[in-house]
Amino acid sequence: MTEDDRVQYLFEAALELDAAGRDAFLRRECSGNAALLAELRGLLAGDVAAELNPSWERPAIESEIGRLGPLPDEHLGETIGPYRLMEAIGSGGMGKVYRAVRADDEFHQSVAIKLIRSGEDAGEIVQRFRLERQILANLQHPNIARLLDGGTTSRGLPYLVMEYIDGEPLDAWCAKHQPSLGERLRMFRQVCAAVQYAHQRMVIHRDLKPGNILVAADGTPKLVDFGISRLLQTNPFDGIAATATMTGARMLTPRYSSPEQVRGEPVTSASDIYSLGVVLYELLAGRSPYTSAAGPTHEVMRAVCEEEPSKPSIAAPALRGDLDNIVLMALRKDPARRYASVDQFAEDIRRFEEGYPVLARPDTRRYRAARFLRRNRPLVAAAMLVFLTLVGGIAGTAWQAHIANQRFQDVRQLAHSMLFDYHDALADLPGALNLRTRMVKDSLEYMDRLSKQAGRDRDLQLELAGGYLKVGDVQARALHANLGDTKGGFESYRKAIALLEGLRRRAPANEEAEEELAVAYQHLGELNQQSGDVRAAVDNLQTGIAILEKLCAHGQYPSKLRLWSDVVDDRRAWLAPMYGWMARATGEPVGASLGNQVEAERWYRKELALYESMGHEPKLLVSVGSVHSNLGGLLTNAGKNPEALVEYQAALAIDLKVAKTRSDPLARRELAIAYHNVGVGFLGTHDFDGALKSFQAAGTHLEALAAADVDDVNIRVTLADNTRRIGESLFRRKEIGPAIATYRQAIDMYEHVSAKTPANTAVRFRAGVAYLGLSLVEAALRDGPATIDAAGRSARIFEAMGPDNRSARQSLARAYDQTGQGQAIGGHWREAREWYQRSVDLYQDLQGKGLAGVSPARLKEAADGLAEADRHLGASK
Amino acid sequence: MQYNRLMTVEESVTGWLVRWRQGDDLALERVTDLVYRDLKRLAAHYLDGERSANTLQPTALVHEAYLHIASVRDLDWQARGQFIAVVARMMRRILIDHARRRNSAKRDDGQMLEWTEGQETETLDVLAVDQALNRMASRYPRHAEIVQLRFFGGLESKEVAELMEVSLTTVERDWRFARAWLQNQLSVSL
Repeated sequence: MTEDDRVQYLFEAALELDAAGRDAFLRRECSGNAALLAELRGLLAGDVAAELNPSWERPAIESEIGRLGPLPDEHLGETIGPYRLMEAIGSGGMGKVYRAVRADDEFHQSVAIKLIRSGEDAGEIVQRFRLERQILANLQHPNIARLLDGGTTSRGLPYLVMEYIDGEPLDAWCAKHQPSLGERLRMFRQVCAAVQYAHQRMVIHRDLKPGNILVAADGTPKLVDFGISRLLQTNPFDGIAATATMTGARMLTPRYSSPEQVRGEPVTSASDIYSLGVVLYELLAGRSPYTSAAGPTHEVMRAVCEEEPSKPSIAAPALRGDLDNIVLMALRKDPARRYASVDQFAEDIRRFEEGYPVLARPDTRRYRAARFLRRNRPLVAAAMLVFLTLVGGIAGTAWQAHIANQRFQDVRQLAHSMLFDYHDALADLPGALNLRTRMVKDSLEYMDRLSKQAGRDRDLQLELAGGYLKVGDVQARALHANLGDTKGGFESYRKAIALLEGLRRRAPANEEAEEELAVAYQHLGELNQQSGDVRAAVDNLQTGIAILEKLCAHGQYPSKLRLWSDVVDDRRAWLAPMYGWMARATGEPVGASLGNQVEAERWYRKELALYESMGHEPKLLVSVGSVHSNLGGLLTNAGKNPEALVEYQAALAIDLKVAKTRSDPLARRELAIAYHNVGVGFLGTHDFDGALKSFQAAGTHLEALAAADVDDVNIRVTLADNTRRIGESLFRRKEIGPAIATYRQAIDMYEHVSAKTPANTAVRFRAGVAYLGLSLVEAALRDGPATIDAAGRSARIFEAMGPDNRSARQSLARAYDQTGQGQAIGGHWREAREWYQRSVDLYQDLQGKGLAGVSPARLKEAADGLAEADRHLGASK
Repeated sequence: MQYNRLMTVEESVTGWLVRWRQGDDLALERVTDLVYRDLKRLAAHYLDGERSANTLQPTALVHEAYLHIASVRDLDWQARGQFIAVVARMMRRILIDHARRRNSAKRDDGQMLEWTEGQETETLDVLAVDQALNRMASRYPRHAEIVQLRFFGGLESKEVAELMEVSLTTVERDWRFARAWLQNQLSVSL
């Protein structure tokens, strides 16, 4: 080992030891060699110092940049337009700023001129500037430096002319003047007021930092560069990930940028709130919220996205408590969880100053759990804001200019993902209904506009069709969280189908378009079914099935459909539910159908077999459970009660398994329905205790779900169904009083939903069933008028459903029977006979049409009533 | 994109590099000159154009320069290694020149007007590091080479290891030692 190697060896050995051991070690190893000892001590000291200096880990060029002073400037003294550049007053990512005076102005009033660095975007920046100049020029606020003018230099460089502020950057000013806490806060609130003013005019600053907040000699803060970063960005939609360019990224000041900005996500007013939070933090604590703020750029960016900022009070203990909370609330990573507006932020500071309780709360786990809903709403709101900004931007004036250039592709993709991803995210969120309604409206406007420009662009047509399909789902998709807009749903589905049929006719064949078309027919069929147009439902479903079966015929199952990302990549997973809908359309136990239960059972068994052929795919477990419960429903209606119970219990077993791994609203809803159905199975096998318990278990889940989303129509219908069934169980247990009360509750629920969605006949049908049930209880109480009233209301509902709806016809026959019974209770035998006769006629008419489903027991009841009436009328003669 | 100009480096440089490998020593001189001028332009763009220390990407850009140059095909690995070392040396020279110029400019005009970003950054004086590195080179040539590649050249340890055909551990150990050594020298000279 050379002497030099030995130095390094000893250095490394010493590093392994603690301070005390180190010294002893060095003394021992260097005994009699003072020079070596000194060198090693120096090295170890050097190591400590080097550890503390992050510059060692960065390329020298960064150190060099960090030490730069001004360089001779070739622009000084130049004339730009009517202005002469007097001195350089700053430089940033996009160019240099000069103080300038109008050459022809005898008062020599100064302006600030920002000279944009040369680059290929110059022309575009100038063009965008013209578009936005008016908006920015209209920002007239005492704390905002005005944008006055702009243009291009003789060399083609874009420049902006702004009000000249003779002031110092906020942080430098504070360092010099050492204002009190109160003064700092007041000054900060002035800044907030200016930002809020701009936000109200739809202008986001995007680059708030002390360097852009200049404090004039009289202590007034003035914001500079408002909206400028947007103006200078190549992408008008502001650094969205897919299209973020170097140009966009270069504009960033990571230390003050929000996580979403750093990630290149869309920027909203919440980003400004975040940046203001950083400014306030530094104003209060005298240092950055992030320890790595001075480190390499990528480190800062990582910290901004991941690191939880420490409380400002750690640096300035006097701030502990509310101010900590206020600052940290503005700095939350999730934009939706920051203050909702700059106003709110400033208001909280004011409350703090005046000693009132503040809105900001520490962000603890418990707090988060307790505020689950409240937290979701802003999230939704934020998603909306992003969406609206986007759609607004596309639909706005800039559109014509953009369709002409290549950006069209980006815009389209972007809109595509926004439309779909946000919709899907929102659909799972309770309480999002109002926002979804607006989103649908804006989406449709956007897509209609886009449709006109689509021409023969196949990709665009396909995407538009997908968009209409999705929007149709949000408007009205059966059995899904929807807005109850049946009419709108039809329109959207038809638009989707028209586009897709157009694509289908054109060569070459596009399998994705065909699959999408099949799904569109399915959804349209579902909606037909839900609106009581059973024949149309069957037609449309059959069209969809034919398309998919043809695609599956060659054993080729991988799906080309990209519209729903979470579904199994297998065409059979699309086909199976269509069988299910065919089953419902042909023989749905409750609601509209052709009343052919044999055919319906066949379709359900076909659906189960198809799922079986796909193996036990975990993602499809829920679907398989649904088939079991639907088949159970059919069997119940066919009077095959023990078989039905078997299916219901199979479904519940599956849903209980699913509930162990998922706790989302959808899984909970499925579980509730499974309990409900097992209850129906127990009712059928006359186990009324089991029935009541199952319905009550279902009710607990359903009420929680209904409370979480007060606008969701489907969950209210299910809750009403369950309530009706509880009424029935109580009745069968001879608890008459509670049964009546429960039926009335169920009826109220149905009527409430019906009032909101009058076109939804399935709900009307169920209300009819509930009235019918009520009439049974009233009859058991021997209350004639109440029986007639309930049965009559029931009959009117079923009559309104037309002669083709066999389920409704059967129920109508029963309602006539009940009316007869009510009349009989009152001793009005002539009227009773009339109603019994109507009932028998209707039953026989249905039977005569040769389809299964008419219960012989029901017909006998009516016939018995008729005979009894005849007996009484005969006796009285 | 700024990288475009590097593409031109790559294109024009390739041929010269190949000729150099074929034994044409003048070609290296020519290529060095080309690359030097281009690096200088690149550095100037960053050093003089964009003042904010928070501005994205100087590191990445320097890196990109190496990547472009290093990905020159038709060059065997060893030649590429030598070439990268040459580039790192050039980068060092450019930075030193710049720092000298900056120092003299400061003497001429003490008044500065700067945005305050990045002021708290503890930066290293590249001139001082350069002088200390010269002293180090005579005693610890391998370490000095690592510093040149890593600090001035902006390469990662892993790349340095590959280039110098030593293990990553060796590079990391030597780097820590070199850093301590240089830092100690800087502290002494202050």
